[in-house]
Amino acid sequence: MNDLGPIGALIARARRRLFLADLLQKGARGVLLAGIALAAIAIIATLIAPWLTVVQERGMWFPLAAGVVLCALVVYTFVTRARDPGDIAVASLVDVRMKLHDRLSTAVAVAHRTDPFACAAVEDALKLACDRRLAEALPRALPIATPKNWWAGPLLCASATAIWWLVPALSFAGTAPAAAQSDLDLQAARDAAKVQIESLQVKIDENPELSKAVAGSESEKRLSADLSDEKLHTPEEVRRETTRKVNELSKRLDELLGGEQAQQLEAMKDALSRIEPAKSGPLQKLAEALKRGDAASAKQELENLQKQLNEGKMDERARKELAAKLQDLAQQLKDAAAAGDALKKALENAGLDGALAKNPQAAKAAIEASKTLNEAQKQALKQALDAQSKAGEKLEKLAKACESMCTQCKNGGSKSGKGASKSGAPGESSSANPSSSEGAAEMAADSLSEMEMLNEMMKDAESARSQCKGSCSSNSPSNTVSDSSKMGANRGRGTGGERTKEETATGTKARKEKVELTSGEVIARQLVDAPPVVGESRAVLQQLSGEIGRGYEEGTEEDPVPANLREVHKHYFGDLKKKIDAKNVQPAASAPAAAPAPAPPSGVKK
Amino acid sequence: MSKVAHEESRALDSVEAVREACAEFRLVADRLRTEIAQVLVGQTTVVEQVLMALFANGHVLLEGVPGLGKTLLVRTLGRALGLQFSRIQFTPDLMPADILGTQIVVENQAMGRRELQFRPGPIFTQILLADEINRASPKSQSALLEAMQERAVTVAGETRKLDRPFLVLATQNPIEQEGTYPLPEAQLDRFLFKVTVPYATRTDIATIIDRTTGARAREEETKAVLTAREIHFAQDLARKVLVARHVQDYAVRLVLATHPTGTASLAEVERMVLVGASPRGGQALIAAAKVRALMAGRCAVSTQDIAALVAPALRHRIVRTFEAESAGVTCDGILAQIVQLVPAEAQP
Repeated sequence: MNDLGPIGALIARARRRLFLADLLQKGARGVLLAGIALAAIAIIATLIAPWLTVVQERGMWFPLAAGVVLCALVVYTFVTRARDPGDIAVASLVDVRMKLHDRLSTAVAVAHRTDPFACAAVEDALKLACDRRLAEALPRALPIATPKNWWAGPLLCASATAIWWLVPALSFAGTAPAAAQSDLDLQAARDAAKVQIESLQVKIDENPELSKAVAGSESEKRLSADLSDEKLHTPEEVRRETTRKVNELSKRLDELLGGEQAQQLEAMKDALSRIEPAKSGPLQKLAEALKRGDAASAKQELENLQKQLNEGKMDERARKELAAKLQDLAQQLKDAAAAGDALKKALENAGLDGALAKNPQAAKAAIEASKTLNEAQKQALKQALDAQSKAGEKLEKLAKACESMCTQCKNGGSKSGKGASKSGAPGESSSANPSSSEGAAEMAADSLSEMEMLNEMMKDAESARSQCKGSCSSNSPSNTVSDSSKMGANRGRGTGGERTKEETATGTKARKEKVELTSGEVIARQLVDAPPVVGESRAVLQQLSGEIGRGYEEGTEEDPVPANLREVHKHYFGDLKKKIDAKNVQPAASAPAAAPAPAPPSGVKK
Repeated sequence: MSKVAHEESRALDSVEAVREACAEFRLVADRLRTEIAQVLVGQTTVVEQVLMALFANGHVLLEGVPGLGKTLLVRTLGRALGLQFSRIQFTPDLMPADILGTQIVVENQAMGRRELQFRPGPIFTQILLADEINRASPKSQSALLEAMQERAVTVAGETRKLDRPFLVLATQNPIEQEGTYPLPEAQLDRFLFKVTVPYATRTDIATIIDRTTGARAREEETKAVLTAREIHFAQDLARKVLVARHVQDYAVRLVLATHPTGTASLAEVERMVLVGASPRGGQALIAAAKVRALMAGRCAVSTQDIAALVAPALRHRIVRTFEAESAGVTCDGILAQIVQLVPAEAQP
């Protein structure tokens, strides 16, 4: 093996120069590509994806760029090592560039040979490699020079960086990027929704009883749910979600306002309004407060009265007068408790005997037995019955309290009831002994307190509901909120209308078939192509049902049926003819041919 | 000269011996060049390439218009080499026997009977000038095939070896194509070089006029400066010249680049070349490059030697497409493009 010392050194030097030249070449190209990428990122970040500015804002730019450059250098070094052309290729390149007639490369290629020609070639190459002029000429043959237009890449990089840093993301080209604006709108919508919901929450929490009544319900849970859900991408979605939440709360408040407690309060107020207060006297204020339904004032008056009685400052005449008044008030309260006018009216409206209002057990049995009432109506009536019953109990308590006070007055006023109270079992509270005047007064105060509390709760619930309505309407005018006030009392459910009327032999009369009421929505409506009904309303029912049976599919094309009702719809119209046929309804044989008159096509509704 | 003659018995077993032989080869080539230059004016490239073919033991096809000194060159070369020289003027009625020789009936006086005796044709020489070779019929042209490739002639079933060195120098006229028979590719492939003889320059023409119209003819004064044995030794020395693998690979890549199809073919060449160079092209390139390196005083071939010889060694081995011909693209143009496109650096 021939020693290639100087040749090896020359090749190593040439290799280094080639590496550096290649690095410069590829580096310039890489910087150009990086500049293009950076410009693209800057444009995207400015116009399309402002979230990219996070990289900029958090100061991650320089570490990121340095990391990318370092990685690129490492990869380049590894790739260059892997693609090492070898000594012969480097020597050949030097030979060609310096026009050395392949002396160096041939020497490297035949270094392992020992024949005279090979040795001569190696010696020749060694002599050449030792020549100083060759070493001096090498840099000219293998220049480490920056490539042409090397400045383009750095310039592009600098420009892109300047654009990114100096031009704000939201004011590029003088217009707000849609995405950024959208994000801002989204945040604003979330903030607005949060304020609305928090104000509602505060409103409800102001009244502990109301808060307790709403707490734990689905609407309350939903109201508490965070609006910063990732599924809510647009302000519109946030507004809709807010509207849904508020709407559900509003429904819950509606339920509360139409619920048993509200009915109980109304029943009490209704009953108390029947009281006829005296024009003057010690009980005037109490009676007036009760008539007004002002439980707080009534409670205060009752406590004052009890205090006066307990102190025994009243003279005999005053006590007698008070006793008479109290007796009268107690009687009025008893009468009011027994009256139940609202329940009576409701029962009569439902086709039941109004007198049942005075007998809750019988009324309950009658409601259960009724075939003309649907389940919802039955439930409502039962609820009204319960409310009336509870209101009556409370009024009874008031009446008893008045009677007790009356007895105290008759007995001489102060502490008269205490003996009775003391005669009770040890440990028995006064409130547990209605015969005690103090205990009765406390019971009455409790009833009045409860009434006051209910009153406050209902007022707050009403206020919260109003706020909910306001929030819903302000959130999205296009998102209509169901408003029960714009609907009928039965919310679209059939009521059955008037009582069935007797048929007459002749004459055109509107007639509504007596039907069994069921709850549910209107599932379909179909126009039927049939001969116009003129004269006496005796439609050829079989013909009509036949048309219905054949034409329901056609009808669905004109008036598409909701997906969840298709089966029901098909079943209903499909089976209608069978049912009519089974009934074997025949038109009247004596039906005269009436004079033709224009009439709209018959319609069938369910 | 004498020193070179001594070398034939000397073994090239040391670096010094190799260097000395290379140097002497260069001197001999210079001397031969000088001797020819005394008669032939100008045409240095042609002379150079003919000498390369001589030392590479190859044949040369000289192409040029009449009057450029093709025949003079060959004749002078024959004189300078001191070799037997024959000239055959190829004509359409030339028969193979006129080239190879024939058996004639002779009367044996001693035996008193007639017998067949082979009379060698002009091919039995060392330097053969086949003048206007494309004027003979293909049958006559093919008579040269065996002689050029095998250096032997078979007549009447008997093969006769030709003396070494044996060099065919054929000439052809690129014009006057009527009544000519273009050489078939198989025959062209057997020529090491196809040398294009260019027009003489102004100075050269003036010198030619001076020399040829003077009182004495210089051609007659040409001396033999080399013997057949020395030529034989020089040819052997040329074969021993070093060719590194990557240099040889360059020649291979050049040959492959002339192919219209294949992995190494070039898109620019594909539409211009109908038939590419054969492996003989590669052989010719390396053989001639070795001589060129020796003539330059080097003992190893370089890629520059090869690149310089691509045109004479390959121009007659490729066939242009109709498109290239109609576009006026010459073989030399195609080969120059190939040399430009194929990198000379060693490929990893």
